[in-house]
Amino acid sequence: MPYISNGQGYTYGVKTLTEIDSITGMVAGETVFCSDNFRKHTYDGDLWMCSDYIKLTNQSGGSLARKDLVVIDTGTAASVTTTTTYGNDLVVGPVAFGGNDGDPVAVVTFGHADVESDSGTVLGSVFMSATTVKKSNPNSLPTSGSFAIAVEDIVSAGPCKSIVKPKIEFF
Amino acid sequence: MGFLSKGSYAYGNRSYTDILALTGMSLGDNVFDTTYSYERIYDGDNWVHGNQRSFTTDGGLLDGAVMIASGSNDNRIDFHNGSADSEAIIGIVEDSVNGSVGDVVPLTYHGDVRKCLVTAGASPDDAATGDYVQISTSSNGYGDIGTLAPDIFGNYIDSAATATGERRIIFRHVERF
Amino acid sequence: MTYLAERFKYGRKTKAQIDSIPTSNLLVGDNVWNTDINKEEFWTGEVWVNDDCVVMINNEGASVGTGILMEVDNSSSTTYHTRRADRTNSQYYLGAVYRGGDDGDKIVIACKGLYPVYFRSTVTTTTRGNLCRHSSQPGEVIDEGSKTGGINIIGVIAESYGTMPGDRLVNVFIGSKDIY
Repeated sequence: MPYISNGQGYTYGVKTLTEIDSITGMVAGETVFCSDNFRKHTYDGDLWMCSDYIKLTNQSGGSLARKDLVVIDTGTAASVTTTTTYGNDLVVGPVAFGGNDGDPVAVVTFGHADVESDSGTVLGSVFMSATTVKKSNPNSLPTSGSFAIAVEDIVSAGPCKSIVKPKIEFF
Repeated sequence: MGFLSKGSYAYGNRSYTDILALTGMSLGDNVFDTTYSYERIYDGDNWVHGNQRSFTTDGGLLDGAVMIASGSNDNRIDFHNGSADSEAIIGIVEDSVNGSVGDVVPLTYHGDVRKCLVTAGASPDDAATGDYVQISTSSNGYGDIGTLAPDIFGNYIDSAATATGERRIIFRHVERF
Repeated sequence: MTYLAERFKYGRKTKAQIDSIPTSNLLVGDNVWNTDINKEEFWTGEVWVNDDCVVMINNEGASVGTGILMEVDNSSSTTYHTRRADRTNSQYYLGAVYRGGDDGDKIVIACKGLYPVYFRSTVTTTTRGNLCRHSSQPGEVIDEGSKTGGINIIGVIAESYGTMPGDRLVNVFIGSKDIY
């Protein structure tokens, strides 16, 4: 295991999110610089965390993976769940690092992140929760519960680069 | 002491309580907060994480207070003063160990806020998980329960207050259509 | 006591000093403490960025400087394209330029926190504590004149000026409420 890389002090140097997923044997306090979202990440013993994320418990009843959209679980403190409500105002954001039901997960509340769009998307579309669980729906006009803005065009449903905004939009 | 330990945090991994008890820090020293899963950097005044910055307060100390830009001094902060300030909220003072007007305190301006002081109706426990947060119109510097309106600034994500009337919220600015 | 006398590879510098570091020497992940904003910044390979900011590509057709409001350029099909914010397109709004650049360059946009914002030439004074909003001039801001929000609010003014500074930049707590 490398202690110092490039003289920068990151335990695991510079990696993409996918490369970070492949790291094993971490211990709390170890670090890596993520080249996808330009943030220093620290392993907290459960998850890789950075200032763009909030750590909450998965109460969705199933596993959560990167890009899955989650909302505040009103039935359990400090928890998230999934939704099939279009434009759910309790949206938190897309998952960055997931986990099984009952596990902690890291959810993006700001910055560069991919969402799983349920349809083709035009750059500049605003995303809100879709009627398909874990997915995000793009709209050309702002609507209630929109939480991110697309920064790329995609021709059909799938991963879409976005900026998760520090604002939630409500009607 | 930290000697280039794993991740090279100057003060290694410590609990939030232990971090606040540290002395002899230098600007730029860092530590991993194992209680809240943040990197904290000593900015010369406070141990701040990525969604915090230190500001001089014109409102004295009220750890967990809901703040506005100071009307008295540039680039400073102050307690909100009721409904007239309801739409100008900029963040929550957190992790402050100081106590007077003119002290430099950390302001959390986005994301996970562990300690927002609230009145929340008759009791800080009145707000349910997911409820919206707005200012209290009866207690300067406090939050309350809100409805979807121009002056909300986040959601409660815990289910009850701590013994000191603090609630955990997600602080997010909102746009209302 | 800590062993590493300096936690940051490039030490503690002002923004101007940071921006003067020769880029040929920099590696992705290199860090520095920005003493203007008291934040750690990281080299992405092309720009210095911090936790309040995102990185986009200037598609304005001209250079954009510090404090200009930017939005996602929905007229483009190129990923990460951004342009001066127009108040009629508020749904595309991102934030204020912290590190600008020429057309086609990567630029850094602050979406939250305390940052300088460019006030329109018609603004003669600012009042701390007031809200501020998009003006009719794309990318530029005016004092709302009150703490009560109206259309296109982008933040809370942090500095009072009886005479505007020459660069027209005023610190704003970015990210306040925006009411349509």
